[in-house]
Order: sequence, then structure tokens, then C-alpha cells
Amino acid sequence: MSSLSLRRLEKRFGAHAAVHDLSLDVRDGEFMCLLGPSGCGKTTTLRMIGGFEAPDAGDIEIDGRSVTALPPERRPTAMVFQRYNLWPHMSVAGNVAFGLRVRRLPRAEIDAKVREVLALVGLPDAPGKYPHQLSGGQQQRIAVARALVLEPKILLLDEPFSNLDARLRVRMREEVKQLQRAIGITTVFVTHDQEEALTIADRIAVMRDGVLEQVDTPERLYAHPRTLFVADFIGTMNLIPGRVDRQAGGLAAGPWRLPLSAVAWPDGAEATLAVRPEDLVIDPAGTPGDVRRVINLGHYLQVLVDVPGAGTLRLFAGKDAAPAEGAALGIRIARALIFKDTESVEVGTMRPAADRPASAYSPAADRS
Amino acid sequence: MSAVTVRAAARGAPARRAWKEGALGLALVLPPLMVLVFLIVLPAITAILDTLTPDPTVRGFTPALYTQLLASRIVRSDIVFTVVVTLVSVAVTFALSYPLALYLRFARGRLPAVLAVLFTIPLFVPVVIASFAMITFLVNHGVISTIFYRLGVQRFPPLVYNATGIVLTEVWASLPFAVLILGAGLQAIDGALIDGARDVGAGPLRTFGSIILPLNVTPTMIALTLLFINVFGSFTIPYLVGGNAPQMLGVTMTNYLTQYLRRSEAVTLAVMAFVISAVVGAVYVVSVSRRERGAV
Amino acid sequence: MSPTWYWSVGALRRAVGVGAFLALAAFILGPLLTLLLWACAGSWLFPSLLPEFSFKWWAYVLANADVTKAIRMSFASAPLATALSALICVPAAYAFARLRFPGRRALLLSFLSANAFPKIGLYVSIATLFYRLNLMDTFAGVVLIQMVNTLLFMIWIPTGTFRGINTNLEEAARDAGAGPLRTFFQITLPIALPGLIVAVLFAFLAAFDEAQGTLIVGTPNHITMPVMMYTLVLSYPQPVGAVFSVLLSLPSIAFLLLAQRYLRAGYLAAGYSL
Repeated sequence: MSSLSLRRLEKRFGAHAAVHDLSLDVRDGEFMCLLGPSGCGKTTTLRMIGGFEAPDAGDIEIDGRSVTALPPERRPTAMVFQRYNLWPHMSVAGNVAFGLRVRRLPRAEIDAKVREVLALVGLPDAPGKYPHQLSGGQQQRIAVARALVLEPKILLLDEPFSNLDARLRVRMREEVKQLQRAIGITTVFVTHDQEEALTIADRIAVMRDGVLEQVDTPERLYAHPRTLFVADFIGTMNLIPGRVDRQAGGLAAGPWRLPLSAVAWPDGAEATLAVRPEDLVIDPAGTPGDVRRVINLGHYLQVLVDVPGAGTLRLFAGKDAAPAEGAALGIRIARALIFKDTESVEVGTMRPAADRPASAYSPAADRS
Repeated sequence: MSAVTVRAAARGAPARRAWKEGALGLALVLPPLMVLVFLIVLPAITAILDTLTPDPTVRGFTPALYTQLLASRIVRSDIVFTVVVTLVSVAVTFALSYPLALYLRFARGRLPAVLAVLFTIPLFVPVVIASFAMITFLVNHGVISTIFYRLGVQRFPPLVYNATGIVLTEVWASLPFAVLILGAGLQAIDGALIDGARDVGAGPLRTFGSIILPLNVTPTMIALTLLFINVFGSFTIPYLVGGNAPQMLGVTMTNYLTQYLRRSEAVTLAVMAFVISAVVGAVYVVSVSRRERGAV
Repeated sequence: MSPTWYWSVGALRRAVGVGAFLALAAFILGPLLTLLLWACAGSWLFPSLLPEFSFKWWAYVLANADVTKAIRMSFASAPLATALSALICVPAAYAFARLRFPGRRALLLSFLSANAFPKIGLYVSIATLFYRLNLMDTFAGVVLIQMVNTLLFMIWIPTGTFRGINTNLEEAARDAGAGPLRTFFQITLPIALPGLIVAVLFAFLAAFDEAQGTLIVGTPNHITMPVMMYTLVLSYPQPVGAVFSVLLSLPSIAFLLLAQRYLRAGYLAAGYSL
């Protein structure tokens, strides 16, 4: 059982707070992603877990025991860096065996473990080779092997695949995910690529400017983002600025008027309407717009539509829908989120104010 | 350990770690620093103090030694001679090395490769040998003069045992330093910057003046100041290749020390040399520090 | 006719290039080749283009007791000066590269001071200090003088080398369980070795070829080979100096050949961009 607990971590560089009041629990065997744009503090957090940075305040616990005072060589963590993992003057076997030699294991046992772990990462013929003889992807696999051979309690990965080309990156992360599932090791994976996080994480911790915005499963982050930042960062989102207008019935955003009965927001307050492309439905009776561009992605179409008052919106359509560029199109919102400061509201099917909403909708006022 | 004490320990830990790191760093740096102080700082300071108190019976500082030396016509002409020879040597070296550095940076093929090896050769030749080689090469009835004689040139100008010989030898010995420093600076200029200039229509001369030269200012300053200090304070080359008068300051002060056995005068001349090159030395240190800013 | 015209004419440009190359080659190699000819010369009388070849002066030089004494002194003092510098400077270089401590930058720059002053002035000042401490004409004095030259190389090049090693490599070792000392000896040092070898190379040559300071401090009983050269050049026939020059160049050449693979452009520039 290896759980990781970050308690109110704080790290400052000069006057700038790289990580602020960060608390996070990673469960045993969980694959947790730290996700966020550059400079959000995710790598700093990872380095604090590994022991390479000392937090200015707060505590780090592994299996209930504090490790904050321990230097990296005594922590039960193993890190795979983004670059420069392997020591160039040692063979692959030497690299992998290094940590085992530090622990003074018997030679035969070391050799066996090295062979085992290299087979695990799919490079059984590598032991005699040197890092410069391997490709980037192979080097990272060896780095993972070296980390795993020490049987750490927590595996830490700092964007290990961002230097590899796109297809290799996809393949490597799949392999790491499968490996993690097979071994069941608690893992923290840092990335700036939201698609990567959505694909492999059990849970994702979204960070911005040193602060944790939301921790949730990929599904819940996608469907129920709690802040505008998370809504925009995860997946694609159409954002339409609006304002609370009680007279018009609730939220006025572009041509849409949406009821806000579930929340008591002050009249005139600014709020943003956020709609997923798949929640924008082509409906001849819906709000009119002009097709600006149709992007054919093979198995589906992305349609960019100019809606007066709302800007250019993106929606998805099936291959057979094929709207023509420049043609007029009707759009209906099937589901949307409305964000005001730190609050959010979910609304179901909507119709513009022009033709009165006769159909009921199912508001799930998911206020956090 | 309770959570409270753990958190307190975590708060104090970074400060303690920083203190330990600082103390270790200073401890490791101390030995060579002590040697530096003993070999450079201490002698320099005692030298300056000694020259200001030449007569142990007279208290307080007096510039008597300096005025006395500067009153000598020979010393004055030596100082002027040193400065002139230094400036000429630096100018000639710079004029030769910059085109060479540019050529090595931008040219492709076998010729640049050979040239790259060629110009580094003087680095590996001790200055004493270089001086001697130059003498045998340039002296009247030496190789060059023999070739010219064979070509029918009867009179051959004296190229050694005078300022010309000193300049030629200093240039010979300084060329690799200058080319390497300038070359390293040129290497650091991204090719894209130069291609961009040519793309908008700048010719080679314009590109050099507007793009390359400004971006290479710091290495240029380093090269110029280093050359100046090296030539200004050189001893071996003027000692072997120079004439009898006037002398470069390096020879003058060594003569005062070892031949005339007038230590105080020798040190006074040394201090004067320090002062004259102090500004240049300061620019040198500032330039190197600026170049290393990204890295240091 | 604009100056750019003839640069655009390929053949002319090539001719100028080759001409410049030959002139430079003659300037650089000419003196050295002349010296080499003198070293094989019995006598060389003007106006012949080549000397009479003979190796008699080699026997003369090698039999000279002062010469052998100077050779021994050089090979005793220069390696010692280099080794001592390496011992105290390499850990300091690591500190400069990796550790944070007050005054780090200022102290690193202070090691440039050996370059920022005219060396002869320094040597004269050191001489007066040595007179007071009875270090004149001693072995220790000679070694110390040589260290003035080695210190700079053994601080700056190793500092740059250590800095060039990505910290991830050291952190990975700590992550795998190695303490700071083991990390330094098993990871940092091996990776830094090429740079350190270059530093030792430059430092040794600087110590070995040091002439002016040793002339002042080592005369008359502790003379090194470069100092011997002064006398040979001034007071002996040309072939004698030439033969001794070849002897004096041997360590430089040997090191050049031995360390060839380390002398890639970057390392060479690092040594001389000081």
C-alpha cells in the first residue's frame, strides 16, 4: 500500500510563488497526472516529491510517514526526467544496476533483476549497449526500467515523452500505462498535454500559477469542469461572453437567453457561457449562423460557424451532414456550462428567446 | 514524529540546507583562494606600499620614487615605446585575426579545415622558442633575407632587434588567442540572424557592420584587452627580439631587478605598468563577466 | 567598378584566398621550419638556402651538464605545480559550478586577476615578497611561480566543464540512492574527465613553458628549460638554441598527439577564451 499525501505545500523562488498551498492525495496504485500550462508549478511539485526541491512550508507523506526531511537518496521515490536520464559513460546494464549496487545487492541478484526489468520494458538485448547507441524512445524506456528496478513506492515521471515525436509519444504513454497497471505502482506523471492526461490518468490534478484548480477523473473534468480555466484547458470549448440580465430571463450571451433560476447572481454581473462542440446541434429551427469553414477530419467534420453576437463557434457534424461553406445554418445548444468567478451552473437544452422555450430542460445545477 | 513538529522541521529545513551549502562552497573555494591571495594580492599590495615608503626613516607615503623614475628620460621613452608597440601589435593582430575568424566561421571545405589547424600552432610553441624562431627567420642573413637576396634584392631592412621584430613576434604569438576568442563569439551568433539580414537584402559588408560586429562586441573587447595586457607586460619577446634602447617596460623592470639590483625601482615600474593597464584590465574582467553572465 | 564585383568572380576570389592562405602559412610555419633546419645544421652560411646537415650539435647539447640539470628541474617542477593546482582547484571548481554561496561570482572572477595584470609586473612584485620570505632561488619558489599560471586554467575550465553536465544526471544518481560523494566520484567526475584532461593539459604546458617568472625567481640554481633557452639564445651558436628548442617542444608535441581526441574545437576554445 503506497499512498502519497501532499499537505499545503509552498515553494517560492524569490518573490514568485511557484507552488502555493497545494494539498493532494494520491491513492495506492493510482496513476495521477499533474496537468497545466508551462510555469504552473507542476514540475516544481514533482521535484519536491522526489526530494530535489525543499518546500518552504507544508509536508509530504508517503504511507503516512513524513519524508520531507529526507534527501533524494533516502526517499522511496524514483524519478524519470524529461532529458538526460542515462549516464553516458555507463552501459545500459551499468545504468540500470547502479542503484542496486548502491544497495550492495549480490552480483547474481543484480544481474537477474536487470535482465527482468529490461525484458519488462521490451529491451532484452540492450544490456551491453551504451546510451548514445539508443534512440530517444529506447533511452526513456531504459530510464523507466532503471526507476522500476529499485521497486520504489512512488514512480515520478516529468514529461518523459515530450522530446519524442508524436507517434512515438502516443505509443510510449500507452506502454507506460500498461506497465503501471500490471505492476500497480503509485505514479505521478507531469504533462502539459491535456490529451495525454485524459488518455492515461486515473485522476488529473489541473494546476495554474502554482495553485490546484481541480482534481478529478478525466470524465468528470471533461463533463463537469469547476472553473472557466479548467473548462477551456480540457478538450475544446466554445466560450461566449455574457451578462446576467434578469429582465431577459437570466443569462444573455450572444443571441441566447438562458434561465438562471438555480442561482442568485446579481443583475449585470459578467458570466461566460461554455459549450462543448458536441453539444452544439444543427437544428434548422435553431439560432441562425453562417458556415465559415468545414474541416474534414476523415471520420467526422468540424464546422466553424459565425453566429452574430457570439463570434465563431466550433461544432462537430457527421460525414453525411456536409454543410456548405457560406451557407446559413441553425444551431441549438443541447448542454452548456455557465461560469461566473468561482461558481458554475449547468444548463440543458436551450432555445433562443425569440421562440419561447416550450420544451423542458433538465438543469443540473452543479454548483461547486 | 507528530505532524506539528514535522511541519516545523520542514519549515526550518530549507534555510539550514542553504546555510550548509554556503559553508561547504566557501570551504572548498578557500584553498585556491588563499594561494591566489598569497601569489597575487599580497605581492601587489606590498609592492604598492613599498614603493610609497622608499625611505624607512621617513614616515608617511611619498611619491618620491615615482617622480624620480619619471624624471629619467630613458624611463619615459621606455613607457612611450611600450605603449606604442603594444597598440601597434594589438592593431595588427586584430586586423589579421578578425578576417581569419570570419573566414573560418563561414567558409566550407578543405582549406578552412587546414587553416583551423594552422593558426593554432603558435599556441603550442613556448614564447622563448617562438622568439628565437622569429630571429632566425627574419634576421639579416636569415631565411627571408636569403630568399630576397636570391631574388636580387640587395638591401634588406632590419627586421629584428628593433620594434619591428617585437611587433612581428607579438603578432605571431597572439594570433591564435585572438582568432579563438573572436571565433567563439562568432560561433555563438545564430546562423539564422545572419541569413535573416541577407534575406532582407543586406550585402556582406552591411551584414558584418550591422549584425555581426555588434553581436560580437563582448568577445571583441575580451580579445583586445587580453592582447593589450599580454603585449604590454611581455618580457621574453622584447628581451630576445628587441633592441637595446628603447626597451619595453617588462625588460626595463627586470633589468632594474636582476641587473642593477635596484629592487624598489623595479617594483615602482611594475606598479606603473599596473596603473597604465588597470583600465584595460578592468574592461577585461567586466567583459568576461558579461560574457559568462548567462552561464555564471 | 564596385569592390563587390571582383568578389563575385569566383576564380579571382579563389586566387586571393589561396594567396592569403599561403602568406599566412609562410608567416606561421616559416620561423618554425627555419628553426628545425637549424637544429639539423652543422653550419649554415649566407647566402646558401639550406644548411650543411649534421647532428653534431645534438651531442654537444645533450652532453652539457647544465642542460640535463635544467631538464630535470623542468620535469620536477611543472608536474608538481600542475598536480597541486588540480588538487586544490577541482573541488573549488565543483563548488563554483554547483553550489550557491555568498560572493560566488565575485570570487570566480577574481581568479581572472592573474590575466588582468601584466605578468612581468606580478613576477617582479612576487620576487620582492619572496626575498623577504627567503623563497628566492628555491624549488618551492619555482613551483609557486608556475602555479600563478596553472591556477587560472584549473579553475575556469573545470568550472565550465562541471556546469556543462546536466544536473538531471546527478539527480538521477541521488534518486537511485547514491549520496553526494558517491555521485561526485562515480557520475560527475567520469563525465567531466575530458574537460579536466584539457585543463590539466593547458595547465601543464603553462607551467612547463613558464620562463620570465622563473628567470627572476629561479636563477641561478633552479633553472628550468625555458630559462636555459635565454642563455642559449644569447650566448651560444644558433644550432645550439635550435636543438634545445626541439627538446623544449617535445612535451607540447607529445601532449598534442596524446590528447588529440579531447582537443575538439569547443574544448580548445574553452582553454583560450580566458
